[in-house]
Amino acid sequence: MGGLEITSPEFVEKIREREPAAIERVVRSFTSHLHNAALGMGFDPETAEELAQDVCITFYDKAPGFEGRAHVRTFLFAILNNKAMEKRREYAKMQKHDPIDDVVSARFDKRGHWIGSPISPEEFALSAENAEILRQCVDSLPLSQRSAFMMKEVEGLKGEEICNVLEVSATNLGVLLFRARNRLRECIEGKHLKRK
Amino acid sequence: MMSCKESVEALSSGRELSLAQRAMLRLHLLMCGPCGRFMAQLRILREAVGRLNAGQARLSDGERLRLEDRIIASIFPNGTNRGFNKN
Repeated sequence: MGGLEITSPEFVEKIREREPAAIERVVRSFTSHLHNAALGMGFDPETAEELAQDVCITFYDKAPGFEGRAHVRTFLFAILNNKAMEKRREYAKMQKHDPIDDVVSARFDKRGHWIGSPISPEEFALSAENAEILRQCVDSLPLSQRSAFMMKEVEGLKGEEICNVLEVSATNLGVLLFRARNRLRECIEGKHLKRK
Repeated sequence: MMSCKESVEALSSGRELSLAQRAMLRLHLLMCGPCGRFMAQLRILREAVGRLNAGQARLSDGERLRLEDRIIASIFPNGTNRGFNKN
């Protein structure tokens, strides 16, 4: 049982049949990943445990329909993402318009040149390395932007996998990352300027 | 010629660029101080958020096992008969 690759067709078949040992192996392989990801989304440790448990139970319910086209990890993260969205009551994943788009636009003149320069990397790092400031800024991100940013920059997932988890197109993933990065950048730069 | 606004859009969305666009972006970054700063800020952000995340409360081995056991027990109230990872 332990010898089968988790991605092998034989193992996928065991998942579909809900073979207890196969389900148990998936739970033991991914529970701590799910818990960490939930913390990264900003949930407290207790809620993160609750989410990890809910995801595994839903995984068991949906296991007969698992086709193995995506990695089982992608399947689990997609369930986590949906549960997290429900918890935050964030239903619209992609807003057509986000105020951060205007904030970024206002940084440039008609010809697309910077109106004022971003602050220097040294000054910026002073704010970014202050854990309290950084946490406030990360907490200000809408969940879908935060998840996209975390998966990309912290977990190092490939773009294609993030698209599958969030159920968005590559273009829309670009929009989410654009908004996440600029929202964080503006927040940190703003806090730096305020402190001066 | 790529404008600053277009460079910022390309850098922050991470969208796929053609070879020609990539060359134009690189050229722009070489010549443009503010866009160079912008790119450095994105790198600092990535590193800082990575550190913040690494420092967050993770499960100890004991807590992790307890959570896994609890989840498995909630799915299989009668046990899995042949527990994996357990002897």
